[in-house]
Amino acid sequence: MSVTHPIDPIRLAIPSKGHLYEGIVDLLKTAGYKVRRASDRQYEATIVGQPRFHVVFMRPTDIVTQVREGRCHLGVTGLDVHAEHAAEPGDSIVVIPDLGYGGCRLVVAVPESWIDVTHVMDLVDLTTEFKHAGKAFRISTKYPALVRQHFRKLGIYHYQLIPSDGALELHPSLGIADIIVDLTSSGTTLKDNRLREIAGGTILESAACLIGHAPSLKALSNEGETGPLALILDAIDGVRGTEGWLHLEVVGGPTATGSRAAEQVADHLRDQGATHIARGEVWDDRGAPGWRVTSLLPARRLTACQRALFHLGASRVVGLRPQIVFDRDAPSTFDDLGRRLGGGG
Amino acid sequence: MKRIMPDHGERPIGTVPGTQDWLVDEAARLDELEARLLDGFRGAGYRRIRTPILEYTELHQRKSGAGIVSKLFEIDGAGPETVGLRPELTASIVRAFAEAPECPPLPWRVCMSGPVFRRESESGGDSLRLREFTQVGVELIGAGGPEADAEVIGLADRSLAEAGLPGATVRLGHVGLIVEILGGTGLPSASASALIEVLSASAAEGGRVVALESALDRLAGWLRPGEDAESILPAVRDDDETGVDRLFRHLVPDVTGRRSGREIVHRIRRKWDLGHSLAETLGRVRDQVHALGELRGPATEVLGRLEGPLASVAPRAAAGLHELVAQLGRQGIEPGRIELDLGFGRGIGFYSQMIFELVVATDSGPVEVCGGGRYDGLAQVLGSDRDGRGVGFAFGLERLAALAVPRRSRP
Repeated sequence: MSVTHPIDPIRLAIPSKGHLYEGIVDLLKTAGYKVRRASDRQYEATIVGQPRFHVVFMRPTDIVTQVREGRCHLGVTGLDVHAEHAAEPGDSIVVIPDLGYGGCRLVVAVPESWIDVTHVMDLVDLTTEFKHAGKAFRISTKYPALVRQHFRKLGIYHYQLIPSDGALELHPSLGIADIIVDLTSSGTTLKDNRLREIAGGTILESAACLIGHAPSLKALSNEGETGPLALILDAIDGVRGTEGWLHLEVVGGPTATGSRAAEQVADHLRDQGATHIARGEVWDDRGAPGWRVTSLLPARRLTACQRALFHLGASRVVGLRPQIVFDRDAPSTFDDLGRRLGGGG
Repeated sequence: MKRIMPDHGERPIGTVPGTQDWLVDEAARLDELEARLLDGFRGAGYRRIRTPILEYTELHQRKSGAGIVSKLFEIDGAGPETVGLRPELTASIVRAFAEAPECPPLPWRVCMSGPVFRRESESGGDSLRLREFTQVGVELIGAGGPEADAEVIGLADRSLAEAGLPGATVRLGHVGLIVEILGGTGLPSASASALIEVLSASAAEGGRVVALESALDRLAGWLRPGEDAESILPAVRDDDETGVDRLFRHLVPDVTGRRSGREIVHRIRRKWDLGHSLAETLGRVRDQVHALGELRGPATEVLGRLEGPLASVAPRAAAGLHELVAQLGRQGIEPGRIELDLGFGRGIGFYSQMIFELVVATDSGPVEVCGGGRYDGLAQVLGSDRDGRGVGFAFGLERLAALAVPRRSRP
């Protein structure tokens, strides 16, 4: 029961293009929050049926700044971008660290020919060697703050950062830098440019993430579990909860041993990692008795177990991709946020 | 951290996070406290000097190990030309000493007061530490030994009493212990100095010597050769020059990057040597470091415990501590006020021997208001061949003012 006015509009910042854009728009749509944007060139949008939300499109780095300073209340960006600016003063916090897409790693990569350098500790020694020889050890990166912070923890101090934008992979062979610290997802680009990752060289595991302005989130969470923040976070949790799962319906019968077969099918599914198993009696269109088992099953398990299900007496197996799953016992981003911000939701 | 919500007309500018305004009354208090401290220093024979706020980053890098550099406000430039705001006073004073056209008469007693700047970052909700604050302190250059150390600690203690906070606890450590331990084990100097810098960085954030333990573990894991280098090792072991070259050319037909094939081969050889000498040493160092971390408590008790195996590993440092505690008695600091903490490594990598803090008890726990120590050899690090001995301290003026009871001028 706050005396101040509720935050309206709630400003949600989204990357204006690329995979970070597509991923969140898809996710929100599945969650029932359809972003309506008049054209690709328009930098603001609304959400259908959600008049309090105002969507703005920006570059991922600007999103970090705007959320930190409270001009936007929620934002979708890369965890890498957020972490790079995390040391700067401000009030942003990570609400959901991994939205399930945009995964990549920030890694140290050295020239392939450096066969003496295999572990990040080699850099402690090597940078000191450079220093004694009166040479600067140069590192190209788009993430100077993260590199400084990480290398300091490792005891690596003697180097010069070459902050750069754009492709860094050629810097070592062009002599611009000795090594690079850059994002990679598969490592192919590094390999193609004759660079190699080293052990202990992963500085950050990144993915698309949801960040928020802490004081605004606190105000919004005070609106309770029917407030707009609770609803959108619950919906995102619900969609995220479906990832990799199939809703499975197994039907069998009519047989005299119906209930026995249903039990065996349920046991088998449980062994395959299924959850939320429920079984019951059913009647077909002619009124003959049968049984039905429903569950959530890891999607990749289905093709491996359908024949076993037939042997156990099933006559039909249907796998549906769930759109949203609410599970009473699943962790809740909203409740968790309330605890982190101090005070109940 | 006050931030004004947007959308209500023109936004106020606000102060930079970590800075604050001191309006008339508060400013007067700071001025009065500063004057009182400087008067005391002058009375003890320390004369005031001034040095620039802007210094080359390299000065602080060389002085503190680069640990402090991550906290520097850098202004511009690149490489050795980078310029930044000073994060503390000592480096500038020693640079001024080293570069004065004529060597000042020794011992050189000087004092200084002025703003320093640190890029403190405090993620989370806690209030930001001050990024701009005032240090007031002294340096005694060209004098060594426990007597000079005790003179400086005694002056700090009297100044604090004069500011209205008598009877502070003197927390005493000795960087020489850890340096002697690392030095006595045959660790190559690159690894030893890397370890000391790890310690320095973690100590700057309140960590302790124990931080070294995890660094030592990492060091041990690293010493295994990589798959590629493995195939060269037999030739390295046999000192077979041409064999090594041939194998290397086979493995790396086309060397890219800024290092030559020779440099790479040279380092493979060095790493192999290191792996052999280091493996068992590391375990021993780890145990000693651990033991050091346990040594804290009242001076008399800890000095007794120091007699054990540690005194034989680091005999010079142990003897120095005994002598210093005795000398402090002559300065009016009885052993009951001295707390020894040999696992405390603040400023290690820069301080070479004794380090100390003055700690004032407050309602919300002990607060450190003054820090200092001995930094022999700093002048050499800065490229001078003048007397390298030095010891000093600095008060944080704003922090001290928050604790010191305001006093009207007395007759």
